[in-house]
Amino acid sequence: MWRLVVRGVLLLLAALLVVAMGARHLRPAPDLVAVVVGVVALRGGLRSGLGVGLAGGWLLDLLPPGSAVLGTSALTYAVAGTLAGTLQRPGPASWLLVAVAAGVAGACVTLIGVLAALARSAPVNVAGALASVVATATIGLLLGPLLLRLDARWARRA
Amino acid sequence: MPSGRGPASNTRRRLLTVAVVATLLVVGAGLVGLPGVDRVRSLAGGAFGPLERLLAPQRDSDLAAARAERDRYADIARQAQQQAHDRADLTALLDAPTTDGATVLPAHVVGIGREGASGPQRITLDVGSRDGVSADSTVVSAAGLVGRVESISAWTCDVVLLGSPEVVVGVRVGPDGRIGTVSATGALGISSSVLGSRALRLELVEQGEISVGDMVTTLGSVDGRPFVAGVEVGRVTSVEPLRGRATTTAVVEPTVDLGSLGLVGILQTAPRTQPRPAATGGTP
Repeated sequence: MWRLVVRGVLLLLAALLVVAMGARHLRPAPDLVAVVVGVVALRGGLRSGLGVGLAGGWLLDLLPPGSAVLGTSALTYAVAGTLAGTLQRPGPASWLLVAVAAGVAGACVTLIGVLAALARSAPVNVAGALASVVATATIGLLLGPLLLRLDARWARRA
Repeated sequence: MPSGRGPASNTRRRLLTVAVVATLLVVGAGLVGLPGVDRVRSLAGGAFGPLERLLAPQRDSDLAAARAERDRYADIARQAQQQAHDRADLTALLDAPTTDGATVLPAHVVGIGREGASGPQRITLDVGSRDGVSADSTVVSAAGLVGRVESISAWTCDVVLLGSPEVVVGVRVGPDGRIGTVSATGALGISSSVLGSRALRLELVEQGEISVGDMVTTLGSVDGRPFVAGVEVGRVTSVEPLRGRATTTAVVEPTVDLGSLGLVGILQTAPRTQPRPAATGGTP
């Protein structure tokens, strides 16, 4: 139970920071929700990845200004979480794997966005999208092990 | 979360399935425009809006009084700088031709939605229904059109930006005032769509002469909602060859730099209450 609360708080903080960084025009902005989703998926596997991705995406859908169609971010992050969950390995995860999981989650979200934009012939900022994925993986490398340890500690308490 | 096979695991699996199906239903409801979705947005805005206002770029009211003396002077200097910046932004907004004679509600950007592949598509402003904001109002900056208000909560409102897939603006182009539409979507082709710019596609209602550099302004809507007439949208940067098309198409570069938006204005228009008098031909 407490672990779910901790994960929820982490997702809410990440989503709030994503929106706040946007308002401060920080570029490239790392996708902090993808970092949390990637870390939890790496620890919990496919199903945890799907669940935490769905929850994180819903937060981004609901947090003003939200997404154009409610629920689309939830589905996008659920796919990203499931994909990152395939990286789950027995035993402790290396720092690099944590960064890869965050990067995979971020890249999956970005790729879905690019495909959606191309489908409607909208202009795509390729350099910006790539920079955002790199920033997400970098933050995953820096913060991921910390988040992993935090999640493991609450799992032990639970 | 271990993936066991016990009853708890089955419950989790069922819950996840229900959550995914519910999400799919909400997406479907949003796509077909069922009522109730905006209500959810409004409730979420009421719950999360104050949090975003707290995290927004700091202004005078955010300065904590009880800071250490050493930091206080730095804060006062920063506050003065911010106020001067806000004043300059407000003066520029009110002096712009876009807001000439209009009732303007100034607002700050407090949140920008997760950036899509084409850049930001939605922003949150720090004014809401209690400030008199109503849906479908035009949002402008000193440079021109920003977007339209979509959903409103008590203290914040969400704006769909020019360049979002759901925004199509009726426009007049050039000195002749040719009529057309501007949108982000269209057959620009992949080669031009991956350039990374926020270029918009202009399509005239019929073939007509337009040139590079022509100013594009809003055509205007009934009662000025969602777009009042005469607001600058952008300039024509290239005119596409006809290639058998029935209409003239062109690429428009927006006048507003969405990447640096700070202070914007919401144009407040009231519906017409008086009938328009008829005129007689041949009389001045």
